Amino acid sequence: MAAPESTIMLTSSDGTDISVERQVAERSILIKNLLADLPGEATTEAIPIPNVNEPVLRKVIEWCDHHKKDPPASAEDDSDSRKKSTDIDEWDQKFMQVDQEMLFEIILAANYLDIKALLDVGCKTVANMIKGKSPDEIRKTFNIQNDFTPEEEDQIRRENEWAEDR
Amino acid sequence: MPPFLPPEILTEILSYITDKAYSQRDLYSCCLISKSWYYVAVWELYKRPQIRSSNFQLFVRTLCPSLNVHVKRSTLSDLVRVLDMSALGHDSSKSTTGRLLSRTKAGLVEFVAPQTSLGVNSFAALSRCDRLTKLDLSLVSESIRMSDLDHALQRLAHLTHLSFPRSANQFDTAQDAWNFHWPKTLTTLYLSGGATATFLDHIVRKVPPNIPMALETLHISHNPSLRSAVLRSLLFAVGALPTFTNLSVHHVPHVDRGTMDDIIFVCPHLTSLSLTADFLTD
Repeated sequence: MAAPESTIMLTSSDGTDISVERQVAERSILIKNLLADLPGEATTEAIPIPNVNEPVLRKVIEWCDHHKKDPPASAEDDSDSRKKSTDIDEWDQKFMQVDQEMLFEIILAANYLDIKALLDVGCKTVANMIKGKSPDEIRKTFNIQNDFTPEEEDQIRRENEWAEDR
Repeated sequence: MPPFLPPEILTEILSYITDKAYSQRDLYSCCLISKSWYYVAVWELYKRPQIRSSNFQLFVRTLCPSLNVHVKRSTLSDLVRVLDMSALGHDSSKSTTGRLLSRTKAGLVEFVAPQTSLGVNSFAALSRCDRLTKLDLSLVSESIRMSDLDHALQRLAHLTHLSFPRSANQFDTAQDAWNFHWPKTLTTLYLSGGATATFLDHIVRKVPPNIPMALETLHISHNPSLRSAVLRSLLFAVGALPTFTNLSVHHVPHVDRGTMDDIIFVCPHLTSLSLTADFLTD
């Protein structure tokens, strides 16, 4: 068990070294498992995080720091219980008030780094933003290209018309 | 170039949109965003479609586009897991219910029958729903022949939950009840409605009683003709099963006070019990 004040170094995809409290970094199951596999002295070397750039990594670390005292997520048994609520706590809501691109980057980073709770908050945020919007509004909100041909779009509309009514 | 979310993350996002706080229309909208969203959202949309009077005809149009055999059947019907027709009045017909069941048979795990319009052809289609685990016939107001139900149930190797129809058929014989094949996997049984009392009377008279042998949970409610003696015979029979742990009995007006006084001895393995106080002596 490492002392709580021990720090480690992470290297973002754009080559910046960021020093992080080990306890904070271990919110990431990926990093936690990596550290567990390394011999003690090797943890002084920077760990490369090739899929996450500096601004996103700093943002993720900010989240992990705020949540470092949360009970660790249990392995599999929580898969149902964590689904139950679509509520997001106030701090997380503020944290997620970022532009759409950053929101998607955070979700991708949480997925890559295996930080379940952050992934959940991100997905809930996207789900909340979808609620009540038309397909066109959703595409605008998330900057998504409509890649249907007019015929395809028409067919999907027609087939699923039964679900359009409230 | 905006970051692209892979399908597993879209699935994660959509799992929240199936929550009660959202409407089916949100899933519909997700289907129309782009191709990658469509492939994920369409699965969620058809998993547990909410069908009502207002959208039923459109739903049927999509799943059963035509009686004409030359029209290609829709693959969307394979995505349905739960077909809940409880919110329908007289919207369906016997043939439509039968067709919906036969279109969705590949994936269906739960079926809630509509109040009306469940015919013999529906039972034929039901018997082909190999993955069915829950069958709810409690709303069915037309009488059902136990022998028809028996035939349908025989092929359902995974059925764990069964809600009996409200009205059994008056032509049911003791023989039908004695020969009734309970699914071997049945753990939960709901009994409600008028005529089930006759059926129960028959099954407990058989030696040994013809009861589901893996039963864990029994709910009895709204049985106006159920008598104390039949109820007690039934409880003695299921109480002897080591698996039988949950019982609830409500709204059975002809069951006498005191009938349940010794329930703890009759059903010794109970861990959960819910009764109307009327059945107990003060």
